[in-house]
Amino acid sequence: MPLTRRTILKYGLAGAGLLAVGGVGLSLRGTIYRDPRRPLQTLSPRQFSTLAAIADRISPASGDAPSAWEVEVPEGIDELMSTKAPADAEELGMVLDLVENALVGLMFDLRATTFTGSSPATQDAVLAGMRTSSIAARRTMFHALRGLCCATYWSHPRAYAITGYRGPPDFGNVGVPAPIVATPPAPESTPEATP
Amino acid sequence: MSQVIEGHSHTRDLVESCDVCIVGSGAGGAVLAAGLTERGLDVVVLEAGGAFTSADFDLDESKAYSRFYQGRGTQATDDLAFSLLQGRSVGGSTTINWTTCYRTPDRILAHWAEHHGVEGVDSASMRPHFEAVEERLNIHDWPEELVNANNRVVLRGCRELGWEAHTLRRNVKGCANSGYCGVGCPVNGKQAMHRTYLPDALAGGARIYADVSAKAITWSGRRATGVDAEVLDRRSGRPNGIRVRVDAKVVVSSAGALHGPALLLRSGLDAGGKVGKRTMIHPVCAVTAVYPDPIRPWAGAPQSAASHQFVDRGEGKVGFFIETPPIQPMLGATGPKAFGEDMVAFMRHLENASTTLALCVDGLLPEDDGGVVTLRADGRPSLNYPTRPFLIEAIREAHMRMAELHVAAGATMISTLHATPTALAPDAIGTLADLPYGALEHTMFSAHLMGGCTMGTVVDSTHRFAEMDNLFVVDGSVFPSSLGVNPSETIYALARRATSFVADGVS
Repeated sequence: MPLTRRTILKYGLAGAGLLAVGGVGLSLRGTIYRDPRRPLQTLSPRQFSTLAAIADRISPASGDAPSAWEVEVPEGIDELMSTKAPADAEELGMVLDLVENALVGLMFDLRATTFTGSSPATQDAVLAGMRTSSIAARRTMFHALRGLCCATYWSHPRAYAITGYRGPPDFGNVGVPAPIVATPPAPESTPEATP
Repeated sequence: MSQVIEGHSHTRDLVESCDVCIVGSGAGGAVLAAGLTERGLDVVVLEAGGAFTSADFDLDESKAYSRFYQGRGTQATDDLAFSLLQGRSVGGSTTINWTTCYRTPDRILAHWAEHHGVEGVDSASMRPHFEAVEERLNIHDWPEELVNANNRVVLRGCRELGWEAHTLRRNVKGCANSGYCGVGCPVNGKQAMHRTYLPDALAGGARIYADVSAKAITWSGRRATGVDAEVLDRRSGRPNGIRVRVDAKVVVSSAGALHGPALLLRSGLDAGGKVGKRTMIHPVCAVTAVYPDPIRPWAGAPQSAASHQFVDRGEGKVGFFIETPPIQPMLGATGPKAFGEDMVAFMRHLENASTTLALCVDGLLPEDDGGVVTLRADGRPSLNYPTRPFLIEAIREAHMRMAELHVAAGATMISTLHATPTALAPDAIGTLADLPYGALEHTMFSAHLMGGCTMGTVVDSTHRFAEMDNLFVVDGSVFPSSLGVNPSETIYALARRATSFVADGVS
């Protein structure tokens, strides 16, 4: 299968076809919904819930590390997608629909449940299967979902606190236009002498 | 001095006329605009990105990539195998690049002349242009005593192994050495276009429009007549319904690789099917290593050392050069493919981690024609960049050499960015040869987008578009191959060289 976004689209259409054929039953089985804490801008409630479940497996609570849900990763991604081209938001929605779909899950992961309705262990297995899938489009989907979730999560102060990073230095507002003058040094660094 | 005109200031459709309309305000468009106004020409610059200043650069990763980068920081090749980092603001990628400057290597200029018919772009004729931009942008050697721990790994490892390594030149003045070049300089230390050539152009009377996206170049016969554009709402990035029309004697595409070819394609200008072809990206792979002592890879000038030991690997092989990235947590987290507890464990090592990049020199082998830019259904560029066997060979070799470098520098654990996370003890790095390499097997990036309107094919050696008398392309998209060095200074110098050709086009 060629590696293109269009492939994802076709893959999605195939999934949509399965949905149509399946109608009720597996394809619509049991989404576990979560309530967004901000009004959704691009994702449907079902897509948001799927994303929330994925984000919590990519970044689960671990010791002093908060869960993705605690730092509002799914809401952050929904907001980001509202600033991107509509086609990008549609693609993400399609990917989330496919991950959640129990019929697609049965085909690829041998699970007869929705993603949100699966156990954490099963959800981890689904994501791991996507990551190393022989189907390139599934690897692409994993890469996209993981990238969005990790970027949103690890830019949050509660998340990055566990790395030893203490956040960016505060230089104040240098203003514009500003003379180029010696500036306060950043913590943990040495400034260049001003020529 | 005039100020940049921002999108929100428009309340109705706008019609402009000028001598030269430049689409794009980055390394090419800015230098060109300054040079043309210095010659007394009337210049309009259209920039799709916003106008930002040091006051906007609060160094917060959670906001910066979505504000200052193309695609809100998520731009990628068609298959998502390569993340493509490219600036989107007044000043283009110079606003958020890591300030590394090199002159174009002589061997590359010779290659362009020999294999692509490029004329008049040799080291002697380019020297005055390099010298001029180096003076304006304060490009100078970064002192080794200011090199941060992440870059010292490169120097230490290479010296231990007897490999070539050197400190870099940077376009900074009064740099705070904070490490945040990639999210905008908060102290105006970086001599980016919005601090240098664009103010020069404004002082010369140029009108610079931010938040204005060029939809198409209009033309008739062999004459470009102007540019149709639309104002974007900065928050949503979507058109707000206000249109801009610029009538111009000469039109210049300086929108960069990807978006420049896309502009031409949207305009029905494909140069016989050659626009968008030969797009090069310096494909980048990375290796991360953990050290006994803190590295704090987020602090200090992001790039200040490099090795060109493997930039020329001989006949039939793709070379690569080694540099470093800054690793603030968000950027660092996008590299590995781990998730769950594995990812948390990886990030707990961040303070002691160093990452090296290998940038592959694409477009030099006869069979290497890079990637192809086409249009998506909504008119945005799409890049199909195949990962061919000769590139995969180079990527495998680069992984092994970078691992060797880290071991020599004292690393205690070596990690790759493979789909199945790999963490190796120093005595086990030989197993890297057995891992899979290629698209989506491991994370890859690019921040160097080049080609797509190549000189010698789509444009001639004076940057004039093949099918038109008064349309020019002045940016990195004219490179017939990649460079084997960071591209910004080559774009600055070529743009300065192009100024006389564009000015002549007006008359």
